[in-house]
Amino acid sequence: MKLTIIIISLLISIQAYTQDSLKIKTLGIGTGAIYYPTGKIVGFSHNYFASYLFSKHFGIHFGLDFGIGQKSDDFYFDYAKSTVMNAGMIYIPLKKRSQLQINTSFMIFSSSKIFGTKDEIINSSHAISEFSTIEKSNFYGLNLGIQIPVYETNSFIFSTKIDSWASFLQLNAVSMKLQIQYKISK
Amino acid sequence: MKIKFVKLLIGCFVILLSNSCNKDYEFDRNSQIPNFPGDKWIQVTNVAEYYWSLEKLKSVETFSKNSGSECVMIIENGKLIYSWGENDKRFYVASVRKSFLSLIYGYYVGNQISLSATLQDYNVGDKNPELNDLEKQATIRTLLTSSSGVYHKAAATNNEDLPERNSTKPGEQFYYNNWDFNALGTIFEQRTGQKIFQVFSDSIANRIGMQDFNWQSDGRYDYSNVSIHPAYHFDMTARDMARIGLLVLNKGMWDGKLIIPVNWIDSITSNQVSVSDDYGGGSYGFMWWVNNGGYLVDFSGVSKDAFSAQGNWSQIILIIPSKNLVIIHRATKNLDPSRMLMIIRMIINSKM
Repeated sequence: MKLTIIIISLLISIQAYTQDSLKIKTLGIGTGAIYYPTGKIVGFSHNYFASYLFSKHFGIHFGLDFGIGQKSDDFYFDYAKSTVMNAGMIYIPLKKRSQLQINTSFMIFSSSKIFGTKDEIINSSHAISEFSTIEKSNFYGLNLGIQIPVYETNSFIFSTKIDSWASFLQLNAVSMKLQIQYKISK
Repeated sequence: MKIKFVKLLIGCFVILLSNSCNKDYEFDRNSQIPNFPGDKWIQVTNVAEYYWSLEKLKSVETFSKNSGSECVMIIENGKLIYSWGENDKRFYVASVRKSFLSLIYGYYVGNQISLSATLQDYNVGDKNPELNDLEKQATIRTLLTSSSGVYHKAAATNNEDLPERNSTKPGEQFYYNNWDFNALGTIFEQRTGQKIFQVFSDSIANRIGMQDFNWQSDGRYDYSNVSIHPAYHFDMTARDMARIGLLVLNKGMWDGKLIIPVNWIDSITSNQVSVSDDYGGGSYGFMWWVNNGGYLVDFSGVSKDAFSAQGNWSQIILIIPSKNLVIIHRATKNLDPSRMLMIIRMIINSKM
């Protein structure tokens, strides 16, 4: 019963928000830096996404995020790579600034990690010794992000985006990117 | 006579050859005069004099810090070869406390405490619910090897995934059981009439010159409403923990003084019960992880004779007698086990 009341209240709230319909559709790309806490690795990141704002406060988005980073010295290397698929909701806290957005998404995080000592270079850019470890894993988690608009024209939006990807209370990566979006419809 | 001499000569040659082909360095501990720190540890100034590569050690330091280590100490033959992090910072000792209790049991086993005595003999029970007849047949030995089969809720653990009561008989199976460890604390104090922390301080800490440990402020009990047996927590610095490691490496001897009976050190650090792969494989002694085992890290490939005390947040006292080596590690989180193992292997690989 309690659950039904909560769901109905939520739907009424969303309905109230959706009365002022926006219907802004955008496609965007971004590029920037990514940080992997395990290994303290900083690397390069790029993303591709689509969003649809169906009201002045809510929207949906879908995105793909790629990251890669490496750290090494004469004796060891530490490498991380990630591919993330996000799908979730956008919340717009300020009606008048529709491009200031907070997004929360369900994600599938695919990760590769290689670390180990370096032996003599044999055939590859970094030789893998008997001490090396290769870990590949896929897991589900939560993506939280904030988009801050920098400049907007009739057709384009330039913005900064900060994202974090976490699973099982463990932070897997954080990224900061500059994005450009094209408004398909407005 | 001549043929015997030639055979002897060939034999010597083969032995020499096999030794020279062995890439792993090993100490002949009998030929080493053991060193012990005085008032404080003094890090050696030139690691190369001790056949360690400074470049490789610095590389491990970077990798280790990036992986989340807070403090590491590398002690070879009683000398502090290299360290990083704050080794004078007190921290909460997690499950390593069990290995500490094991050390002081050595003073009383055979006197006030018998390994074959049962919980029933010592009138040890619990509350909500009371132990049953089968559980009361668990002996002190099965508690020390964490195989009592008493699956009662315990202090200082979340009590999740406890096996069903009476699902195994005492001594039948290893299960990492805080009830066993905590009950051993109660039994120790009941049988000896003394406090764990005070005995540890008087009998070990003061005699090996632990710099920071103060039993009145660094020892405390963690009581729980699910069991009458509290956990006994220590706070300790890494440099004091390193002294414990060196003491155990030297089989209870410290600078010519016998601190803990040698045969007790042998007992607690030798295979008493096999450990399933769920807990990293290897074996368990009396509250020490042996044969490369360990619930946090299994040290497979490190050294056949490695044994360790391990606790949450990657607290490790790793002892490798064949290399005359003690490694202390601590962090504020649990490191990925493969990274932890890598740090240890990189340290060993830093020896030239």
